[in-house]
Amino acid sequence: MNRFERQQILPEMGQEGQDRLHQSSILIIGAGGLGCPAISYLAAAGVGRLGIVDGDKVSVSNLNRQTLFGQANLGQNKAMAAAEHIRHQYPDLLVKAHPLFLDNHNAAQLLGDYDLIIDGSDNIGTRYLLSDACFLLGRPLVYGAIYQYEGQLTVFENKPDSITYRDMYPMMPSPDEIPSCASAGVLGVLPGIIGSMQAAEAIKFICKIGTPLIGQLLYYNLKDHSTRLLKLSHHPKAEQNRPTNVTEMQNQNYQLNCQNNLEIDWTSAFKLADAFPSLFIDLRHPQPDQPEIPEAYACVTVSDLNGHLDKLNQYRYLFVFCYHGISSRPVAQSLRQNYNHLNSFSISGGHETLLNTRK
Amino acid sequence: MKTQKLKILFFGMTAEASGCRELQTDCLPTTGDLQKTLLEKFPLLKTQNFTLAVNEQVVNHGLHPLEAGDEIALLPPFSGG
Repeated sequence: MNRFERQQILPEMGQEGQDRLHQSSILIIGAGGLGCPAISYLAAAGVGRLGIVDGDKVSVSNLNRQTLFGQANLGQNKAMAAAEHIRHQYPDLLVKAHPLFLDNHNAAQLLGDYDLIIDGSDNIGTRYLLSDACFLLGRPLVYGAIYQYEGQLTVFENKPDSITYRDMYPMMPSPDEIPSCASAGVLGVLPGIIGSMQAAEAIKFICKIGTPLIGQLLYYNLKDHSTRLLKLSHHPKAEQNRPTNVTEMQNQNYQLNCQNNLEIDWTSAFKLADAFPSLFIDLRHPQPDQPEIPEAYACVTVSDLNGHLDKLNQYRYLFVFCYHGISSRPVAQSLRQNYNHLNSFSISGGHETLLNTRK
Repeated sequence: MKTQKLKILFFGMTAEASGCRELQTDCLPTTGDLQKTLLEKFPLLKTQNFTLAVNEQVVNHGLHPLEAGDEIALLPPFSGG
């Protein structure tokens, strides 16, 4: 008897499928909400060699969904902690921690060493980079992503004529587009489901079981378990937006994190505030004779802000403004860095431009 | 009898922009007309990036003709993990 007996007796799997798994190597990008369940199930299933890439450290807010970690791992590197956890469970498994963030310079070397890649990243820039790199290297990529109660799943086979992420969304969003950097909430079980589905797709792909989601995009909604399976097609602009070789990829800028989009104008801010719970933060010294922002919007002055610091996560967006849009920038930056509120913005031009906007 | 309407499905952030996950609207000739109507009705959609699927097939090649009874899905990228 061995620990894979219960899966080896499955039709379509057999000893042959198990051997294929054992001979395969899989790299998981991100040991987060998606990565943790994917790593767990791939390790349990007997994948021969696992690599885990993550430069981040375990923080307490990760623990509702990143189930490889516990209180004792706080502050540790995620790739190292995840690899340690897996080694403890299965000492015979080859698992390597890469305690770094994937970037356009290390991507080709890291990915090239594995047969299949799992995208468990949490930002749009890394998703474009991974898709481009896997396409250039011909590595199959199992893509999963979540937004609030919804998840997306597909497999990019990455043969020369395969559909890639760029066929879904050819261009990276430009820095002036309103970002969707979701510091939005997540129920831990959703990435648990989608990450497990990613592990399933990887195993199906390697063992040639059933029909992997190649050329198809699955949408899943946790609220009512509704699913939609959409057929993907080539986009005429995919190819022109994709780097044609590794050097081109290394010269491309994938750093589209929210830090580039610190500023927002009043019109966009009001639009967002109409739709989502938002807080305006007024850094000016109180000046009662100046026109304030409409009463319908929640607004605090800087002196009230301290009393609000523990309530910031009630708001989807924070809009910081000052007189001219200068001192609000570092405050918005600090709200992102120190309070982990990624949707904090500095209103460009400050209060001065509010008058023009409202005319 | 076949419905004379189009069925629109909203996913992710587009559902927040429209305030609903599903709605019916009068049939329009093409995806371009539909997109214009939706952007007028839900201005927040202008700030969002999404691709369209007609009857569960993603359509990437310009304007796509629509017929009564078609189901159109707005598919924004998700980035969370």
